[in-house]
Amino acid sequence: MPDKRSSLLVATRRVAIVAGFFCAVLGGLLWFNSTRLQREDETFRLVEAERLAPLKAQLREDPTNAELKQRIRELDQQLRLEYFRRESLAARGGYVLLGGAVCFIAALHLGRHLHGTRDPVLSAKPEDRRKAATLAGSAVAGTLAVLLGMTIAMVGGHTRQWLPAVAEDTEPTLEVEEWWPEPEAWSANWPRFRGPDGGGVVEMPGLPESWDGESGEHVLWKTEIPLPGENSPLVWDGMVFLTGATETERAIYGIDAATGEIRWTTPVSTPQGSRGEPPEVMEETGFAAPTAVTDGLRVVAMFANGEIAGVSTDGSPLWARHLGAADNLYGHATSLAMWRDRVIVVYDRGRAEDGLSRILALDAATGETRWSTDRPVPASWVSPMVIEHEGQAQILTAANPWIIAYDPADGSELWKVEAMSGDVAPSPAYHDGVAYFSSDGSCLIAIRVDGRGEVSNSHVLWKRDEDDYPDICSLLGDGERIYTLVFGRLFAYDAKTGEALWDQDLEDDFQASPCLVNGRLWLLTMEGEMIIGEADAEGFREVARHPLGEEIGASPAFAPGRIYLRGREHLYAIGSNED
Amino acid sequence: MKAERQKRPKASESRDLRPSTFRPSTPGGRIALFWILVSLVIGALPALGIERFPPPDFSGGHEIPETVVPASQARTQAWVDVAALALGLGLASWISLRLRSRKGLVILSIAALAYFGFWRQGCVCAIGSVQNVALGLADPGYAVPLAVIAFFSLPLIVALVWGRGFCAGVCPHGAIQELVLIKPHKVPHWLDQPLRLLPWIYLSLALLLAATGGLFIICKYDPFVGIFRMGGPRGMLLLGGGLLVLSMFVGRPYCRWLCPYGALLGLLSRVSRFRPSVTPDHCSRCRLCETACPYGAIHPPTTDEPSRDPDARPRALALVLLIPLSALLFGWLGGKVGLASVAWHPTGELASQVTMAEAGTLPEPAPDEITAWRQAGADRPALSTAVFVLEQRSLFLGRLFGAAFGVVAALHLVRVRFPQATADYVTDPADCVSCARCFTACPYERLRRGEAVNLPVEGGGRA
Amino acid sequence: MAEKDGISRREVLSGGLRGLGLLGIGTATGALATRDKRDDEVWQIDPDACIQCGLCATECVLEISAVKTVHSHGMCGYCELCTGYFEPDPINLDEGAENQLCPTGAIERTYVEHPYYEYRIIPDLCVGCGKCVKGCNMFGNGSLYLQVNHDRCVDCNRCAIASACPAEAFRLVPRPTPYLLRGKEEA
Repeated sequence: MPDKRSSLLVATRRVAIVAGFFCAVLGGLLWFNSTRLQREDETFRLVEAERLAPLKAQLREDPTNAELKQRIRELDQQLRLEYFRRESLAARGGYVLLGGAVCFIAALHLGRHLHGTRDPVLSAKPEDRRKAATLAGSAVAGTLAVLLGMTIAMVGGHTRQWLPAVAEDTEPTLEVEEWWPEPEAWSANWPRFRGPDGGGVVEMPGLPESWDGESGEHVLWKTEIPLPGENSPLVWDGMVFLTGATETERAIYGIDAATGEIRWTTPVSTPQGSRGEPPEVMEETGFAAPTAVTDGLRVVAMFANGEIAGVSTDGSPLWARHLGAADNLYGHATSLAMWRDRVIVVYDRGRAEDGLSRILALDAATGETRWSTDRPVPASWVSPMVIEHEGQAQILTAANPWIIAYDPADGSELWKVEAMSGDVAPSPAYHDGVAYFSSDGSCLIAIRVDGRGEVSNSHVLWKRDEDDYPDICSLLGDGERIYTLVFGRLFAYDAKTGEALWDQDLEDDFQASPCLVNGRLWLLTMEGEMIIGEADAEGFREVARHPLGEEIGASPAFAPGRIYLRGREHLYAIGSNED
Repeated sequence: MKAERQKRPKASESRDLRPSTFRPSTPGGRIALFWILVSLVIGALPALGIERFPPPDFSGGHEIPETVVPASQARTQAWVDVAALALGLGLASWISLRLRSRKGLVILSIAALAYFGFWRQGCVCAIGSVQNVALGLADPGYAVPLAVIAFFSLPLIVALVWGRGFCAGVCPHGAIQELVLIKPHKVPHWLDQPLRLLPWIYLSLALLLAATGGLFIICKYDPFVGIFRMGGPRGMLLLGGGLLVLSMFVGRPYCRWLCPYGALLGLLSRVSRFRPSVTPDHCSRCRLCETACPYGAIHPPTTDEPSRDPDARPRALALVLLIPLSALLFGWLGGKVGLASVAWHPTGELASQVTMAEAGTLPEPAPDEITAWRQAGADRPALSTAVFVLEQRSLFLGRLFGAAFGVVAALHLVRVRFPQATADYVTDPADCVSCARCFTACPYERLRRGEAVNLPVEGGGRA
Repeated sequence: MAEKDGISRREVLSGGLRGLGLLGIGTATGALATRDKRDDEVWQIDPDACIQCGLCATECVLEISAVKTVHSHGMCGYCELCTGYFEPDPINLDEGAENQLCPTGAIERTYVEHPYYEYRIIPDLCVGCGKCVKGCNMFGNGSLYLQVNHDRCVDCNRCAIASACPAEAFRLVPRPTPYLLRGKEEA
């Protein structure tokens, strides 16, 4: 038996030596092979292009050299074959190496087993556990101290290697050749959502007395708009502008105000916007809810997928950008505003902690960012309003929970109030130094705009939070009263005190924002019916109702002698036919 | 595509610029002309996925082939993996705690190495899953696959009940080191214990990087996955090979001094419900188990009277003093590391490159990152915001993980400095990987099995 | 178990900690497992973000990368001078090795009718270096692009190429629709 055992032991020893030697040699070969495969080489010299390149260059000098051509082809084939041979060698060699290693280890284990598990020789005295613990404890403590010191040395002097936000490094000074519309021209047209002041209060001569969309009475023209959109028409001189979009297409339209003919259609597409995932939107919001803005030279439009584009008023594309994918439960719907030659974009996205929301001022001519300020708010739907108070222009914005006014010159915060909650959508009203905000489920609040910093406790004129407040329709204010449209009910409040004056059920659904034209309230129902009425401190007196015969979500636009209504499919121009 | 073509009436003009319709006398002239025309077309159109040359209408009725892509493998594999994991954990716990069979564990280890290692090629694995979980908890938009969640949680839950059965016979990383261990050499206690801090540093750093931006360093620097796949980056293969050679003489170097998941398992095993005890009944202090353990997990007795624990008071004092101090210190340091780590993230790296590019200090040609960023529209404000958000996150998470490391480091220090009072040779549940070597060494255990043994005398030596 | 007060106290403490540990693991697991899951996901390249840096060929954990070129034939212009097939400034417009861009000869060029040629990728030869993709995207229709081939991809937890990708063009897509194809196939 012992003989057999010892001869077996010799055999395993030999197997181990052979297998170990085999593994070492094969490992070395495979290692060499892998160096030839150049896997870690940054420039991918896969089949040694550097050996072919000089020959190819030579051939270029002498294109008719058939012999050289032949040499290139042969070398090329040889290199390719070699490459794939090496690849397959690497793959198969791995398995052979594994087999060798298994033999090696197994032989070693067997050898040790045959050698006999001899009982270990013990030192007479076990080590002193407590002494060992003291030593090990000191070693651990020392290691921790060294670790601490090394880490401090490595990261203690760490400094940021990048510049701060753009807002700080672009100079806000105005250039001389900048162009922006004369205030007279601005207010004589309908350049943005809810008219020149953004509040829907306007004087407009020669508006038609009555109309009927179905019979065609006082309908000057009716034009089908190819792509759907909830945005409202803009009017500047003889042109009407609006936009439309679907999941895949986006376009800006220029329409002749005299004939209703679509003069031009400019598609909007950026690589990121058209290739990216389409945004998720609610059907009622659609992909073109934000109303565009125009200064008479350019039309700038934004879409639900985060694309924004500028075109000149003759339709030629100027610029297009993608401001990042939208993250919005209902679909991005905030309309654009304008200050001088800058387009003001409020782009609130996601949740507040995502840090995606921001307000930007873009150059209307080039689309370049003039400034950009982060907003600590989640997605919102309130369209910004630009006002001027005591020589200071302000952009009024609202979202959950902050109502913030920005300086349009550099994007800095002027004042803010913490007041809103939930999904904030109705746009504000403003009159003579007081801004009014409201939203379904939060409150109705009047704020003096002459504050600076956080003014939640100092500049709130009054605040109500016991009633129903609008979920979509913007606020309307005439200085004396504030009107809100809440689920078909018209409410009036005293603008100075906030006292509830009266309310009246109009028994209709509203999505369009109310307007105050020539002292009368113009309320557009979702069925397309325009309710015109007079309101005073006592109540609301309906004067007329004019049907359109088509559903409407967009707000109306007004021009001298004209009303433009955008139905679900058509744009209507209403006016006296004799004009 | 059709709509896109309608939108760009100019694109159809490029049909005339098709190279093949030009036939100047020499090929060289023709090609030169082509490049001129191409550059004209490129100048007129933005360069991204646009049909510059509309697909032809073949007069000969040639059919345009379908684009073929190979199908994806079925996903039942993941559930087979989870089932194999659960089975392996059960078997490993049963073999190590009830059967007390070294042979059984070796067979299980070979099976685990073959299946999780060479067949499944080391992915999915429990060690890497901590990163997915960290990213999943930090980023609500990231959905952690259910199989990964199972690989993360099952071994931890098992560790709470039966100790590190996962390390004993399921983890292919453990198995490969266990199987090549030929001639174990003991690492002195004073060297072993400080080294056992390394996994915690690795874990904290990996969690920080994974949670802030999906950098998975545990996967990137995994030593054995290259061996399982029989190929990979040469650095990875070299590290794996080196560790394996080391493993022939030192027990499980990766598990003990690097594995971040092993650190977690060890921590949980300290409170496990059941744990392997070396001797079933009587300990004669023969030290055979201590010698047999290659992992330094069996400690000699501290005292002859187990009721008296001279370290009880200093231990409590050290715990009370050290834990808050260490948590604060390392929390502060973690914040610093967090801020510095921003530069390792793709976003931070890009931001610093953009900054350099703006300052004109970036070497030419521009790195691919900058090229890609410019191609995507070079959204500077978005990048600033992203870096800002990343910095805030890294600062917070760095402090959090730093403080957690501080607590663990203090616990470790106290545990090493003031060990629990025992009168017998006992396994340290945190360091024990349930390999069952001590069972085969213990004379009383062998006696229990009916083997013939020389019973040792008390206090070492042999009768 | 409770032979002595000390031991039983330790048992209680360890039981409490054990419960705490279980609770922690359970909470984390539950929070992640009950999250609104998209389908099981795999890695794929967004062809629009890809800048053809060449790392796909070298960074993959597989010896020959799982990334290979895919050809959307419906988008292809069938050009005689294909900028994905020919080197810049080719000597002749023929299949000679001296004119080909592909380092492994993985593109097959066949004559269809004057003046059109069809190009097919031979997946077994393609190593995913993206040279043809770069040529096609720069001057052509972009009908050639890189995709992770899911018969070869081993589904790494964190794709090694994704970690190295300078354009961050890798993303997770649902396993049943594991490709991001261009052209008609996109729909």
